[in-house]
Amino acid sequence: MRTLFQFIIENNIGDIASVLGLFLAIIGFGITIFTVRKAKFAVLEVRNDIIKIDTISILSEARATMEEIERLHREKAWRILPDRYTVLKKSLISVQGANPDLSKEHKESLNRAVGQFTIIKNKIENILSTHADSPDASKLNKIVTKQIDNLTQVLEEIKNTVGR
Amino acid sequence: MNSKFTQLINQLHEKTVNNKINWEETAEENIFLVSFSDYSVEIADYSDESHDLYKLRIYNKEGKIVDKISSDNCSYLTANELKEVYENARRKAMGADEALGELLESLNEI
Repeated sequence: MRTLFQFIIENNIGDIASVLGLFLAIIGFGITIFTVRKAKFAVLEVRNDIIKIDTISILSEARATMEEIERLHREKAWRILPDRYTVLKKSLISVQGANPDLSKEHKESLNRAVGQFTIIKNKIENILSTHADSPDASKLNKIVTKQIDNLTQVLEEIKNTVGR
Repeated sequence: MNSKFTQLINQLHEKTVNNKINWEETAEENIFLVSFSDYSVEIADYSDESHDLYKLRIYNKEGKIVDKISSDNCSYLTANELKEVYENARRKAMGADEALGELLESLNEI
């Protein structure tokens, strides 16, 4: 044992071990920071995917509501339509609120749908309050169909980004 | 009138004439709409036989009106520009230029 200590002292092995120890500690610290950052990034990605899945669900419901609105226009069910427009607008507005990072094109599409349904709602409310003639359902549905197409495009593009 | 409104009308006019913005038809024959990331703008014609009346409204993301201007409460020049914006928006939304182009092409082929 004494010979071993003597060997360590004579060859300055203690100093070398300290330097090596420090070096290993720095590498270990770097690896820890890298792992923590990677985990943090993974958590953020999962959170973003959850928001996207939630958005897909709301937009799918919004599209179904638009299709129902088209049917109600054909059936001339004017009295129940204002409530449907309100539900639809709330969905579209909530998607915009929950997704501030949506692309410019997607924001424009959602905004356009809100604008178009605001005008349709005002028209129907006006007709109901003044007892004016029923509007042309096919003309209204031409607008609704265009919004369904736009929303479908937004929906598909968001679906394609989940997990990426 | 707010000078920013004058600028907005100028820009809308310029961008519409240069086909930089896409006006769309709406459920109302006399209203056309263009949407951006955060706001939408509608231009409407409420003219009758006795006088011209054009209105421009700005909607936020929630579909609420944040500001509006009417041709009967602005300068003659601005009112005229509102009318021009409406006419160009209508032509753009209805595809008037494409229709005229195709008609001319058809006539040339006869």
